[in-house]
Amino acid sequence: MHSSNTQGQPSRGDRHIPVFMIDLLSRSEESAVVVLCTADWVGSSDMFLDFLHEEVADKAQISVVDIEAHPDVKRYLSIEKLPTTLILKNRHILDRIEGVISRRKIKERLQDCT
Amino acid sequence: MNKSIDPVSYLELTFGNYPYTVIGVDELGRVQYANPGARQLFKGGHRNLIGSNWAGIDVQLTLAKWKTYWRDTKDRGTLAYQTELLAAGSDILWPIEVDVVDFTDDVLLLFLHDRVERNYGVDHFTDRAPLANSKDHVDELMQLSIDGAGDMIFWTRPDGTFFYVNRAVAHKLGYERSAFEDMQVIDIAPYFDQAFREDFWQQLRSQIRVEGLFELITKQGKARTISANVNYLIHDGVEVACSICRDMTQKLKRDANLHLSRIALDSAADSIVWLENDYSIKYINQSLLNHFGGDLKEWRGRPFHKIFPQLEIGDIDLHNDVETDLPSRTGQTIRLDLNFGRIDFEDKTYFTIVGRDITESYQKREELRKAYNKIEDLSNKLKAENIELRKDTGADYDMGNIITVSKKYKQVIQEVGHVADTNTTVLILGETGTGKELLARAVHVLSSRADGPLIKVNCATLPASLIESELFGHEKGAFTGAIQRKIGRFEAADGGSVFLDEVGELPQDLQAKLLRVLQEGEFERVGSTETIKVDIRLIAATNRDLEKMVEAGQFRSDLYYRLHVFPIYNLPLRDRPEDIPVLVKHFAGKFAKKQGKKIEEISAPDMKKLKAYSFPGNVRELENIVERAVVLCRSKVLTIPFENAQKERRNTKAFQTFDEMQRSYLIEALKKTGGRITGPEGAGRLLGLNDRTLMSKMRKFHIQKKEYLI
Repeated sequence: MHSSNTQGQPSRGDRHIPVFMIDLLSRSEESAVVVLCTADWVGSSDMFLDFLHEEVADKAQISVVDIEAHPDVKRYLSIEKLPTTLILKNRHILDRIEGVISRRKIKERLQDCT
Repeated sequence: MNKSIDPVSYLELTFGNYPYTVIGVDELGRVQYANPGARQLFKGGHRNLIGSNWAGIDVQLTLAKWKTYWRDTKDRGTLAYQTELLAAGSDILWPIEVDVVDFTDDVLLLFLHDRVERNYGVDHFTDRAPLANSKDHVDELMQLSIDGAGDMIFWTRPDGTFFYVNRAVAHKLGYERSAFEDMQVIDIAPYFDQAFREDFWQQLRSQIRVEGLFELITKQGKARTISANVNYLIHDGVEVACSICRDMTQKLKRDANLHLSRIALDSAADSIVWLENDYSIKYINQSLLNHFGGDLKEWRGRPFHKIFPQLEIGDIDLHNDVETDLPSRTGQTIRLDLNFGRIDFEDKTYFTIVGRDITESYQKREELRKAYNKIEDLSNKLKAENIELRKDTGADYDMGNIITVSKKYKQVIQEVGHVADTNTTVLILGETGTGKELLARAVHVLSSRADGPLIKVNCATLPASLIESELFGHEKGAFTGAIQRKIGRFEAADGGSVFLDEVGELPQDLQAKLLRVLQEGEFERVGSTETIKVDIRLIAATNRDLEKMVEAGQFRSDLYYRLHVFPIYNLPLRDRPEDIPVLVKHFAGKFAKKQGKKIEEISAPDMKKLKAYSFPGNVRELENIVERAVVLCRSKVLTIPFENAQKERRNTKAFQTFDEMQRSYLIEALKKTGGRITGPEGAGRLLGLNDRTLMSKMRKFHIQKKEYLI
C-alpha cells in the first residue's frame, strides 16, 4: 500500500483545469473535500466509500469521480492507481491516498489536514 | 631422679630438642615414651607409638628376651645389643644398635643408632663413643642431656643464688655461664625481691611444684616471657628450686599474629571457609556467620554443603573458579565467585574456600544476557518480517487490484471491510485460485494492525515434522538440528496478523495448540516451558470443507467453531461471470504492457466462449489463459487459444464420475446455446439428444437455470 503527501497546487503545465476539478476546488474553499477517484470495476471502491462516509462525512464533503468517465481528471491529477483519494482544502491538494487504508488511518489523515 | 618430677615431662624436656632417637619401654615391653626423633622415624605418629608393643617393632625381640634385658640392665645400669626394626606401614628392616639405660623403676631408655650408617635419624650415635656399662656413665649422660637441653633449666637456692644453670639459660639471657655464680635471681627477674622470694618458696614447699608465666630480663635489658615449671627438690640435704623454662616470647608473638590473622579473617567482607580432609567445616569466618547465623562451634564438623548446597566435592580444586548461589535466611540469594586453596600440614590436608560476593555484577550480567536474548529475538523477528515483506513486494496483493463489477463479489468485499478493524478471527473459504490471500491481506491492511507484521504460513507446504517449530519456534537443542533458538511465526506476528493458509491441512496435534493460541493468546516454544504471550489476529483460509472434515473426525470441532466466527465465502469465477470481460481486459492490458504489445480489443466470439467456460482454476486460470493469448497474439485483436485451456483443464481436473461428467457436459452445452434447451438451436440438438430426454436428464442431475444462464 503506497500513499504520499503532495503539498501545493497540481502541476498544470499547459493543460486546462478540468471542469469537474474547478467545481471541487471552489467547494474546497468552504470545507475540506475528500475526492475518491475510481472506476466501476474497482472492487474495493464501494467499501472504501462506506469508510469515508462513516469516518469523515461530518468534517468534509465527499465526492466520487469515475476516472473512466473523466479521463481529463485522471490526466490532470496523474492518477496511476485506483482508487486514489485526495483531500482538498482552500483550493489546495493537502493529501493523496493511493489504494485503500483502514478507517483509523483515514481519520488520522483527515485530522492532519483539518 | 626426684620422684616429684613427672618422668615423661622430664624426658620431653631433656630429649625434646635432641637429635637422638630415644624410646622409653616398660617392663612388659610397652612403649611409654618416644622423643621427636623417634616419632619422626616411626611415622605412625606419637599416639600410635605410645602404648604399642616394642617387640612388634624390634623384630628380633620377644617378651622373654625383653625380660632378660630388663633384669640385666637393672643389674648393670646399661646394656647394648643389635637388632632389626620394622617401620610402620613398611616391610623394610633397619639394622640398628640399641643402648639400653636404666631410667626409672618403671622405664628403661633405649637409644637407637644405625649400624650401616643409613640416615634414618639414628646415625647421630655413630660417631659417639660407646657407652660404658656403669652407673657413672648414666649420670654423665643425664648431665649432658640437661646441659644441652633447648629449654632453660636452672636450680636456685632459697637465698636467691643459683645452684646450677644450663647452657640455654646463659645463651638466651646473654650472660657467660660462669657469671651466674655471682648473680641472684633478682638480676634476671627484678620483681623477685626478698618478700616475693619468701612467698614463692613458701608456696613451693607446700605445693612441691609451681607453674606460671614469668618475665626474665636479658643482660641487654630486653624482656623475655617464659613459661616456668618449678619443682621443689632436696639435693644433698639442701633445698633447691628446679626451674624448667620455655621461652614463650616467640610463641606469644605467634599467638598475637594468629589473633591478628583471625581478626583479619573475621572482618573480611569475603566469605572464608576452611575444610578438613574429610570436607567437614573447620572454620567459617564472621562474614558467613553473619549471613547464616549461629557460632563457629555449631558449624564446626558439619558437611560443607550445608553452606554451599550447589557445590560438589569435585569442584574443590586448586585451579577451579566456580560461581555458586548462597541461600540466606532472608530469602535473598547471594552470588559468590569461589576460589579454592589446598594446604598440606603435618600429614593432614586442609582446603580453603574464599568466596567473593558478585551478586551485583551477576545481576547486571543476567540483565545483559536477557537483553541480548531479547535483541536476538527481535533481530530474528525482524528477519522473519523482512522475509514476509519481500514476499509482499514480490506479489501483487494490493487490494486495489480486486477487479470486479459483480454485485455479489462487491458484497464479499464489503464484508471484509466490516470485519477488518475488529479483532475477530476470519475464515476465508473458497476454491483454489479465487484470491483468498488477496482477501486475507485486505483484512490485515484495513485493520488497526496494518502497521504490524502480517505473517503467512501455508500449512500444506510445510512438512508435518517442521510445522510446529515453524509456527511456535524452538529452543536451542530442542531436537536434533536445533542449533540455535528460533522465533516462531506466531511470535514474529506479535502485534500483527497471522494468515494460516490451507488451515485444513494442519496436523491434528497442532490443532489443539492453535486453539490455545486463539483462546488464551499463549503458547510455548518447542523444548521450552516458558509461556509466551502474543497479541495476534488470526486470518485462516481453506479450500476444504471443514464441516465435513469435522464430521469425519479429521478436524477438531472446537477449533472449527473458533475459526468459523466470521466466515467469508470467496466466490468462484463461474459465480461471477460478469467479471470475465473486465478481468480479461485488465489482464490483456497488463501483459500487453509487459510484452510491449498493443491490444485494442478482444475477439467477441472468444469472449463469449470464455464466459461459457467453467474455470475450475478460477481467476488464476483466466490470468494464465490471457497471458498465453497475449504471447501468441500477432494483431491488435486478442484471440484466445481456447483449446489449450480446455486441454489443460482436462489434465488438471480430478477424474470425474460418469454422472458428474454428464452433468457438467449438459451445463456446458446449455451455456453454449445461451440456455436454450429445445428447438434447432437448443442444447438437445447440439447434444444429439431428444429434447424430452435432455429435460429428464436435467431433472435427474438437478441442473438449475442459474448454473447455465450467464
